[in-house]
Amino acid sequence: MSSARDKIGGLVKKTAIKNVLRGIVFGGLYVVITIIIPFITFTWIQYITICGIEIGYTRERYEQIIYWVAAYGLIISGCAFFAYSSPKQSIRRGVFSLVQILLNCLYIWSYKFSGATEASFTLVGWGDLSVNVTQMILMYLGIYFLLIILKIYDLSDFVINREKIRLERRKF
Amino acid sequence: MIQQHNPYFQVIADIISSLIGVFQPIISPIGNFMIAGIEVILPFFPYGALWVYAVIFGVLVISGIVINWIWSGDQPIGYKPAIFTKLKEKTTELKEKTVGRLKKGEDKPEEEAEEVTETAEDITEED
Repeated sequence: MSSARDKIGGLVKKTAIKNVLRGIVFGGLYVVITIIIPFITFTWIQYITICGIEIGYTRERYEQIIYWVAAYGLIISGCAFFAYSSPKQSIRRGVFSLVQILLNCLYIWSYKFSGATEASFTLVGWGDLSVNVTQMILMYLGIYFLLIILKIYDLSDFVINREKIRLERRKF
Repeated sequence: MIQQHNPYFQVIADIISSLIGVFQPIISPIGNFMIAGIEVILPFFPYGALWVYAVIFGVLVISGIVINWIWSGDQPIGYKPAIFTKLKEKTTELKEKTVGRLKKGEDKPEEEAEEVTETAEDITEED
């Protein structure tokens, strides 16, 4: 009895380590995607010059963009860690995947309200030019809405078929 | 201007604009609906306090590790994690000890003690 319990305990520990490692990998990936790459990109844009024209944000706007990118990036990465370290098809993975998608919407929208979607620069002798990608953000949010529906469906599936999923998971 | 340097940018821009053109009538209204929802949630996220987000991140990571350690998801149905088994064992042990002491009469509750005293007094009076 005790040996069977030890065996199960060992297996549980092994799975826990595997889950945590998976969480670390995906959490790290989200840190790179949501914080490091945008940070490098916006810092690069801050100093970029194309054909002698400086395309950059004001210092204040740059700081605002970086702040929101870091803030939402941290929460998204935390949620990604929690979701990916949870067992497959578990309710907690379903819940945190849904939360992550909702946070992704906020993250994308943060680009809009921090002013990152609108870049304006002056062409000497020609006038002012502004680039606005708000419409693209709207489209992204529309796609995310469909993803939210998909995640809600997944979550309800995990809740309804909980026992079946648990039994299938334990077929060693 | 960027397009003049690299023709691929033009191709990418054309693909993106055609996609936006096709999906815009369907997806943009949904996007607008999403924005209405986001505007409601946004005030709950403070500006100028990055430490709040760092704390949330830390809490999520630590709770993720702890919860996975206790419920990793591979244990058989009815299997209780070790922490709960130990807790149950301790509780049972304590319960058995208490019951044993009560049976021996070492640890009588106050009411019982009073009852015993009264009975003893009654017996003394009768004598």
